Amino acid sequence: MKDLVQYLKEQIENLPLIYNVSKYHTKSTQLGQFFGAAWEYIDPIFQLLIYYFVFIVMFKRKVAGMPPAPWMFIGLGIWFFYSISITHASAAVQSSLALFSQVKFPISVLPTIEMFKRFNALFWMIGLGIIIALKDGYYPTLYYFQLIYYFAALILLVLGFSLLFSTIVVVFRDFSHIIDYIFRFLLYVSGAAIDLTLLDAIPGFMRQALLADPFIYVMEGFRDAIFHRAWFWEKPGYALIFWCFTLGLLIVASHLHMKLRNQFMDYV
Amino acid sequence: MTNNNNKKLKVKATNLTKRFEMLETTSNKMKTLFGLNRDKGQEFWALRNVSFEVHDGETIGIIGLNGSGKSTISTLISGTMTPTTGALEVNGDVSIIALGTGLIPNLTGRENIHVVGLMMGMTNKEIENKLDDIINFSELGPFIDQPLKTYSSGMKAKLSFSIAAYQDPDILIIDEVLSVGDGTFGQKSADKMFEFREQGKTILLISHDMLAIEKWCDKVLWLHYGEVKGYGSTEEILPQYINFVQWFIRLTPEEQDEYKEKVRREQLTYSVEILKDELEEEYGQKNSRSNREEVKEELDFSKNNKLSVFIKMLLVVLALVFLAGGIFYTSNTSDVAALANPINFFQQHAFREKTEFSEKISNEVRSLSESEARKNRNKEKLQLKSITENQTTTTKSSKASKKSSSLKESSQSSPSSTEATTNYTIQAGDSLSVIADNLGTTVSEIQTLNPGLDAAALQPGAVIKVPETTTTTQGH
Repeated sequence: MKDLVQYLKEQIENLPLIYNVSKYHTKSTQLGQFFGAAWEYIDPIFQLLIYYFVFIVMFKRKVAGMPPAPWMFIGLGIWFFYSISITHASAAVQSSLALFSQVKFPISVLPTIEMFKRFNALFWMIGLGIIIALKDGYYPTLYYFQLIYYFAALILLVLGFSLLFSTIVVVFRDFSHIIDYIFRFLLYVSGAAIDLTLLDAIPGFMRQALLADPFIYVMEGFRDAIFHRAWFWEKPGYALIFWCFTLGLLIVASHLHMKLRNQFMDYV
Repeated sequence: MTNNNNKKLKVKATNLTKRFEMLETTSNKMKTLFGLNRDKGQEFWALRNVSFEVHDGETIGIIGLNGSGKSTISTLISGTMTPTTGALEVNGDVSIIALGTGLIPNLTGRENIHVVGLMMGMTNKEIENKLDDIINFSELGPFIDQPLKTYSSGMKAKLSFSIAAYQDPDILIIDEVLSVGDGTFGQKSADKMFEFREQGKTILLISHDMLAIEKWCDKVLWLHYGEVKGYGSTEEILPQYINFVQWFIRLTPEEQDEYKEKVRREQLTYSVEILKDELEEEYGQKNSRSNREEVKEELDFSKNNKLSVFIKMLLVVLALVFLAGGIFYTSNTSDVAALANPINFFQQHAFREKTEFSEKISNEVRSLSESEARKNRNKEKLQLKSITENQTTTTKSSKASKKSSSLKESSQSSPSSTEATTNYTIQAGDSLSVIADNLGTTVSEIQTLNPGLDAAALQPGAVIKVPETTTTTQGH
């Protein structure tokens, strides 16, 4: 528990550092491109259009009770945030260790920097989803205040996984491939692009259990808020499972990280 | 020692050792992750029983042949690695100047100053204030706004040094940087270093450049294959080192190899037991029981931070709640019932769909297919306008579909209708709506007759059930 407190303290104390460094990192990837920063906003749109075309237009997947376009945009926005920030973050410590071999530097912020890099795309995709939802008649109501709760949940969940995976990857490098495959597969059973309630390929009891999946809980939470479906206290069971999982994850991850942090350099 | 007492102690290393494990295997690494005992691989002792003290305002030169542990010492002091045994006390901020630390090749020099400065713990404001000084000092001029990948190694070294020099650390470690810049920049760096010294800051200079060491350092630490061969004033130690190097050069190549082999073997075969003996010898001279305790403490390097029992229990509880919740959500019972009778819950309710859930699904499927049927009807109306010959049959079929849909709505609770059915073989290119059109029925009708039929993937040749009444109206 004290490892977790120390970890969170390091993140908060280094918030300006995390923000600024992530900004410069993003800038370095955009250098030499004519449109530069614009790609950051164009990429998600094209990704969304491709997925929309494949699933809704080509395979005629239906979405129960909601307009498919904003439903999908919000789901995919959050899903890409999960998968890209966690896969990148898991490699972050391992790949940058050599850079910091000579500097005293709080290594625990490296995964967080990767997460910060994805914030722009997340806000942009959810923003697009909200705008299209407005067109379909889902106007902002009090339900929108839930976004704060689910955003906090999203960040803690991603931080937990990033920290755990980044620590494991330092010691067991092959793990990065496994993470990659897991996220590629999970996309199709996550309800991000295919509505779980209508996904006949999976037996019903599995589908109803999948809704308790922490990833799906947060994603559905965002949809609840934007499509005025439910309040978060109307799903106490799912919330209980989510917070048990996330707290456990954070405790284990921060413990492992702090335990191995001093030995990281030996693994380079 | 005594004349240094008035000065503040900056770095104090006592009986420092650093062990690296060679031939590290992945399985061994994974064992550390789970806290299991690892197999003992080949050990390499980069530092063996190193003790020294550094005080305020001193400039220490660290010299030695390659592979003597000079850089290991600097990483230990900067805190990126922890010593295997021994105690290391560092008072103050440490900053290391080494080539290319944290530099991002795609960014310009100016942006790199920002990034590296931030990573070294400066705030944005501090960097803004010092930016001009740093750029001036680096002598990069117009190149400061060029991407770093276009820089020469000398330019990178200058930039690295300039950023670190303006950081205001208490202890500055310079690892082989000064020799990269040209003589003029070297002089400037030297002046900057003297500035540091006058401010009472401590400098550790790692270099093979004996002239630089002689010029700047008050004291020299001579490391020889992981051991301290000498530590004292520059005038005393430096000639010894130069003598040693010259003696070594004069040896025949065979003798040189033999010598290196010998010292390397020492580094490989060193062990905690040897260290213990050395320590006992060292402390035994002072001969007291408390010193023995000290030895033990210093050998205690299993500083594993273990989870407390409370946290372990908490983790178990969290995992149990998570698992129980997961199983509960695969069941078709309510939470109260599950808690009241767990055995019954497992035997009868786990891994079953909740009735609300399946109702929700079938409702949604129905509403979707109804909206599709509505679309089809609209299509039919359009066809009505254009094709007048088929008027009679289409109205019949649309009537039939209306009838059947109203029938279904009335019998919502039992989706399996009692209507007579026939089989229909799917042709290539068919979709549910085409079949429904042809047979004058609705998609929802077909879907209720064929539960589990996936509208998106119809197999040509597969047989599905369709309502009988409608096939007769079609007539073929």
